[in-house]
Amino acid sequence: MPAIKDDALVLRRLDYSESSQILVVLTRTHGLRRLIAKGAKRSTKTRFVPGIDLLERGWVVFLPGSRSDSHLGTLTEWLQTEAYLGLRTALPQWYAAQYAADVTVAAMEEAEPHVDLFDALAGLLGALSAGRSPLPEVVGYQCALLRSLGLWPDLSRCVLCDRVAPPGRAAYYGFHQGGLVCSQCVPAAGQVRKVGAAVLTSLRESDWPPDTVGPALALLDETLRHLIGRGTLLAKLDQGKVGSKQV
Amino acid sequence: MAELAHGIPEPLARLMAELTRLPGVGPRSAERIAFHLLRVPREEALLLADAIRAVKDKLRHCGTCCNLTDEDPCAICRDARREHGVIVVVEQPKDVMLLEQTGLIRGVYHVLMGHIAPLEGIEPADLTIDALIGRVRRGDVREVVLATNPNLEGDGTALHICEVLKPLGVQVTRLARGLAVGSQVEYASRAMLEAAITGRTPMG
Ligand SMILES: [Zn+2]
Ligand SMILES: [Zn+2]
Repeated sequence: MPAIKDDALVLRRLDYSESSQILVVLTRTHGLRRLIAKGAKRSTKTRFVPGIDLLERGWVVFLPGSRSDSHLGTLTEWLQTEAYLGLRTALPQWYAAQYAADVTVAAMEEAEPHVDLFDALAGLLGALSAGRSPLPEVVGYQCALLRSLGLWPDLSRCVLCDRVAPPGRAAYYGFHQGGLVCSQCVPAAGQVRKVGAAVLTSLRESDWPPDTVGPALALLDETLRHLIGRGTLLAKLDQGKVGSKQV
Repeated sequence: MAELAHGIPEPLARLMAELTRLPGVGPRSAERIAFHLLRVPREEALLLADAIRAVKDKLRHCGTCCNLTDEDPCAICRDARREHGVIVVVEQPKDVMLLEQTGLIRGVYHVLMGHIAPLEGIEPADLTIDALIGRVRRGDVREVVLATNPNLEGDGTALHICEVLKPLGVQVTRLARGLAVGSQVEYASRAMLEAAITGRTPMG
């Protein structure tokens, strides 16, 4: 199979052997890929001097894996183009970037291209590296991730009975349905959470004033946790300030 | 398992299998080492076995700096000629060895036994950071030198330690980074160049 060249972000880096690593990268046009970087941990005699770090952007060249080796590709070239060094100067941004990397790897199918999501993640890392406040940036990215996966919740009407949700009012959000559920449908909806009017307006308008950003972040995180079936690094984002039960 | 395939007796096959598990040792090297051990006198071969046993039985972590040692406190922590007011913080015992080889560290060490890695589920509490805070709290420490790896996790670990030490009023420094000595600007990554530019030092 011919080699593929693409723009990529390094989202996970796992030790594979004494000298090799497995990288999970989000490529711009070839989706999420697992690539073995042979010799990446040796300081000498490697094509990957000075090593490939987490949350870097660069050009990858790789030989795609086949079905028989669970699609593990082989990295043949790496040229770093952006290291987002600003992430290493403040812990909130450092944790926020890793939160995004974690949910991206967990939520995405391998080898499915999502150019918009790549651009959103590169934008997030750039904004965090530039010292932008992490929470609104992360909420924006959660929205981009859910949209890209086709799972952006319907916030205009009840997903069960189609009743229109009046703007400016609190409503119930059903996690199994992935959208709003009217009060009549709540008993049939399973796990729901009441969402305040201001938070709903923020979600509808993609506008994150300080009072809604935390609850919106927590709601979208809970949606993502339902999707990936495990916890996230939410608690690391801003201990105490987000993740409150009442949203 | 008695006689194995290829007519190799079981004890020899077992030795080869164990050797293959060592880093950097493939089946061919394992075979060479195994036959070498078979050929040399019994005493000589058993020196290796004894050395392995001694490492596993006698080495423990220094109660002060957490480095590997056969005596607690370790030789460095016991050494009165060293500057005990300067603590160099590293990720692994291996890093202490490398820094000691430079002969430039007059201070003492603190080994974290890893780095904070949220994606791997490694939290600050999994490291020896509390012991480091305890050492600084006990006083007489004027500088903590953070020598964690200059990668994302090592830098985050340094940030975390810097924040927890800040209220204690100790000076915290970080090893310089930038261009690799002996390399060429042409081959430096963008990150190395950025670090080298921002961390430039006066000359002449
Ligand atoms: Zn309804
Ligand atoms: Zn010691």
